[in-house]
Amino acid sequence: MIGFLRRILLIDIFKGLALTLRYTYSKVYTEQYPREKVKLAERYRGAPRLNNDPETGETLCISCDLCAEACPEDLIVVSSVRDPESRKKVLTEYTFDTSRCLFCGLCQEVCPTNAIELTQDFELATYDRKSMLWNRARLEKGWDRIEGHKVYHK
Amino acid sequence: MSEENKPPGAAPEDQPEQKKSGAPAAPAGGGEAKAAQPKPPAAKKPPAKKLPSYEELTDDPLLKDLRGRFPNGIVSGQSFLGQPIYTTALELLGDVMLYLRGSEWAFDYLVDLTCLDYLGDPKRLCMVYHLYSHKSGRLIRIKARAAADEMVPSMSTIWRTADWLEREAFDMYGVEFSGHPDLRRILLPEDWVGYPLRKDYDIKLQDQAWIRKHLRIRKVPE
Amino acid sequence: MDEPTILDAQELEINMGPQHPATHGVLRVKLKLDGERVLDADCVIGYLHRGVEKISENRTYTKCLPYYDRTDYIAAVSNALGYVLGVEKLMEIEVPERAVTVRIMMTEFNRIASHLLWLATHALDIGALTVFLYCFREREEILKLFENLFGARLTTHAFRIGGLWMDLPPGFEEAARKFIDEFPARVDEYEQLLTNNRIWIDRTKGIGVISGEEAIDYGLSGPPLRGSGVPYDLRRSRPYGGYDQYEFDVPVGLNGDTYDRYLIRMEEMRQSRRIIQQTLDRLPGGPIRGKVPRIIKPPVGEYYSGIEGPRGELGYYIVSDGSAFPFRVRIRPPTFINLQALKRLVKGHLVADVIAIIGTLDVVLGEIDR
Ligand code: SF4
Ligand code: SF4
Repeated sequence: MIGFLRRILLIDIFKGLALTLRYTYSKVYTEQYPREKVKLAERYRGAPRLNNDPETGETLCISCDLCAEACPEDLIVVSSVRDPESRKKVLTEYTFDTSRCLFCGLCQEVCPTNAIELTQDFELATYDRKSMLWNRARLEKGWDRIEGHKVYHK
Repeated sequence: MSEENKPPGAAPEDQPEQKKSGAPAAPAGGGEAKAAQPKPPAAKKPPAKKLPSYEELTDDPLLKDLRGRFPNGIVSGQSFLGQPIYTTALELLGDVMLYLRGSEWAFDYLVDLTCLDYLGDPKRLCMVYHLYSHKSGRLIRIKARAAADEMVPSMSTIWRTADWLEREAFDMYGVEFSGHPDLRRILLPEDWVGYPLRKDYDIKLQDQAWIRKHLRIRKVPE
Repeated sequence: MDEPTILDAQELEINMGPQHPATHGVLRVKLKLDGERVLDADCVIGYLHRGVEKISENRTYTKCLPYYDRTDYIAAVSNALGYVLGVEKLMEIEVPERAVTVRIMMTEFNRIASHLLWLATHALDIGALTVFLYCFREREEILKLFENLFGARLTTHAFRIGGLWMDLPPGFEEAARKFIDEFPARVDEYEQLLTNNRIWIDRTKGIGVISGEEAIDYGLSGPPLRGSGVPYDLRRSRPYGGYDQYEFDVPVGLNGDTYDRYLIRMEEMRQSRRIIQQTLDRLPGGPIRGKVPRIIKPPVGEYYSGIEGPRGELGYYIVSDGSAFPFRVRIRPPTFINLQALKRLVKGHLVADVIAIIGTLDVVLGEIDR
């Protein structure tokens, strides 16, 4: 009987409607993304960056090739020459193909000097496939500091 | 678990006895056949740490029952890390499975059906079935070796699950199932040529003719 | 095709999908119709096939892991768990207690997130938009937790062989506690919107009924199997990864219809919350990664590691030939097998119910096609 009354009077539907009505005047959960930049976690794995020593400005990379070894997609190419005097390897070029990257973080995990790092930048879209191949200059500067790149958030 | 303390060499030792008829259940045999690429002793090198290895099942009621019922059907009964593996002859595979499902063992749930490819072995394909019984809670693995052109009996009449799983095995390994109602490719396009999960199918290999025809790409970039 | 049917009309064959939003991805169902009634259905899958199993054979054990995030992309954490448990078993690696606990916690969070996404889209397909918005709000909270801990929201690359990548970040426990404190009220809200709603009941009760025996015959697992009254949950039946130390109930249904499967998933969310509560209470300190050799080379052997994913039994059958590359990694995909029952479930129902049934099976095409 009660079930029948509930059904006739649409009690349950009205209960649901009351709930939605309550939410109409509650806090807004949506993030206004392009206008406000989302704050991402510190560990977020986004655009890659090749870090420089903040004091000397020299690259931290010691060209050990571990990152290229660790990458499942084999997309990192580290080129280096051996300095005849100090017998150390000197980085000449470093390419990173973001179009194939899984953003798994295995490369930054193995890097002994924290040279390669995946940063919180995530706006990686480009207009052509060629510009997805990042060279050393772009990796060191970071994506949004490259000239001609439009930054969507202020 | 205490049985696992046996030296790891135990499993390969008893392999020669089994010879071709049923083929070794352990991938060790296949590994050797696989152009001897991974040196078989590699796993034995550090003798200090005991590694898990294939154990012969000794007093396993299911193995005894099967041996009694199918004297020629059961090639071996082993276990690895506590998971029992029964290798059967291909000819009697259908009967053994029907028995496992119908008898009081009641393996009513076919968990998985798949295939392994031991390239270079005369019986290169190894069918692997995982069975589970909702009644007793047992999980077992059945294996049967087949040559590349041999027909494997279809399980789709015993478990309906097998229908798609066998289509997938056909798709990926080219296993021909006898008695399957509708053996077509399932994941790859119907007119694709080649069986991608076989070991001689290189990862970069693609059916170029198919790509040219359907995607109209002349040359697939390296 | 030529046989006259009831109204002496021709049978009609139509395609549903692959670009149909209600098929949750690229699933194409060829329906044979008599008017509105479905006579037969045939699934065409494979549009998303990327050959993950083949890729695994060409990667080392460590490098395989990120690819499994991309099979069932809704439940990436569970996928990782199944695989690392298998490899750890083969390698006989001891995982520290803290890592074990965090793994269980995150897998249960993932189960909630996955069920929320399922509820959201299922309700949306049937026509309840509000639930969709609410579910995504909660799911967002979980994804934020993932982001803080794993560094990614969807393709988490959650666990490593032997433990975790990094320890819990500061503030994580509080955030997790806050979530689980609020969560029961949220589930009640969804239930308020749906459980007694006439439209919802009419659309789901008696739709896609399957008996327990038949469900077993079709190899169903997860909520579709439990909806038919079979209490098979791997966390209970074959406990793995430390689940035997937790208290939770396994809900089962009575009628095996879409409505029961809905109720089961709702209850599972509450049970997952209970497990998370226990993990948070007992969370031990200590290291997060066990002793792992630098190169992972399991001995010759094989292991089937099955776990209870949000969608059913997710299995990894790992065969090692003693080298650094797996000889074979077979993924036993729960939805691939559950989807097989679609043909049987939709027979005799209306076209609109097909949507409800696809929804109730909770398919993820990334996993079906691998
Ligand atoms: S994030 Fe992963 S895929 Fe990308 S470069 Fe690093 S290791 Fe390779
Ligand atoms: S691992 Fe680090 S230091 Fe080594 S080559 Fe890569 S970026 Fe450079």
